[in-house]
Amino acid sequence: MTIRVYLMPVIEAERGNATRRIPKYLSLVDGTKSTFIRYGQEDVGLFIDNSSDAASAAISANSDVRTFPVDLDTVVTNGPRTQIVNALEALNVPAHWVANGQTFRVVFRRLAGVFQLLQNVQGRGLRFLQASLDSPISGLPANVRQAMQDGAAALNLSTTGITGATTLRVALASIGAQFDARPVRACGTEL
Amino acid sequence: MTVLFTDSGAGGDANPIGGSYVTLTGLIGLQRLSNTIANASGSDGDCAARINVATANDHYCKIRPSTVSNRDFGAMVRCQSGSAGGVLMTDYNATDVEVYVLVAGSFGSFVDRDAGTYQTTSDVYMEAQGTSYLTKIGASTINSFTDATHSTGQGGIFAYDSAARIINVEIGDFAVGDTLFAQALT
Repeated sequence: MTIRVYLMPVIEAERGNATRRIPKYLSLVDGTKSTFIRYGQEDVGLFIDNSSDAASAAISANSDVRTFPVDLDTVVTNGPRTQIVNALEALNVPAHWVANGQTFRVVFRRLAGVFQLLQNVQGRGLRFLQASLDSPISGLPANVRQAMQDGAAALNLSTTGITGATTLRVALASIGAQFDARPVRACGTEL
Repeated sequence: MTVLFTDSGAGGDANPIGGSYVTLTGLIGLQRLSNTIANASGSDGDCAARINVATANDHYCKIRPSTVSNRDFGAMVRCQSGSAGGVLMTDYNATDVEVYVLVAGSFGSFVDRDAGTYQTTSDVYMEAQGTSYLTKIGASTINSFTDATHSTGQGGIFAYDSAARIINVEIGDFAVGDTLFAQALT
């Protein structure tokens, strides 16, 4: 089966007699494996799935879903770049770094890397995005700044060059860039 | 691998059933009832039990269910001390095995789904290695995926519904030289 990557909203739904946060269109899948890389506790994530072409078409038909090319080594060109940047920025995901000539694999890995850092901050009981992306890091509470540092260390990431004056978007872009050559495991394979 | 905790469910039955449960040594809040391990008071998001000995952050948990079909329970890794946090594997709908991340003060977030169900004849296994996770039923790997929410914690067991029943439990660390799933960092 073909593995596809989507940018998909998160919803709260009843699962197992409990309310849980799940990918919005999880009910449409018909594949054997699905993986979700959450943007910390924000309401969006990367959904990776091996559903059929028909199910994938049904998922992609939703206006709040963005679908990556099946071939992640496809190169970003100007038109898609504008769409990607607009879609991500509308979801409070920094995307100024997306450039023509990058592959969608690099875009995916950088997003997954940034999402993982926010997951780790969330795992420490904190929300990272407590200020706009264009705010300086110094505007975040001290415990959030510390959680970001600790999270980066836990993920073997460098925070060199990130200071209090660095904006959240630039800091996150710096984190994401460290994932260019770091595969992401999803649906039992490395992407 | 270093086995840190096992329980085979071979202990004596509670007497009377539903009366005096036996708390298992080495696990917090986990009790044995009638040669099975039962969730006596679990609720959504609870770590029904976690191992109470030092566990490396990279570890595994293996259980053998004694009941299946619409049962919301499973193996758990990276359980957080003193809060409802960790990564759990569950088979609540008898259709898919799903993995959720729990964070203190929040509810479960979906991480992974695989077609498959628990069997009373097979172990359920979950392993944490860095930001990579591996799940198995019996000898078959059902999935592997990335999540970075919890870097630390201990092995344990999750149970939502009071009908959860587990016969065997094994929790262990990895040691130098073990053959591991771990995804190499580049």
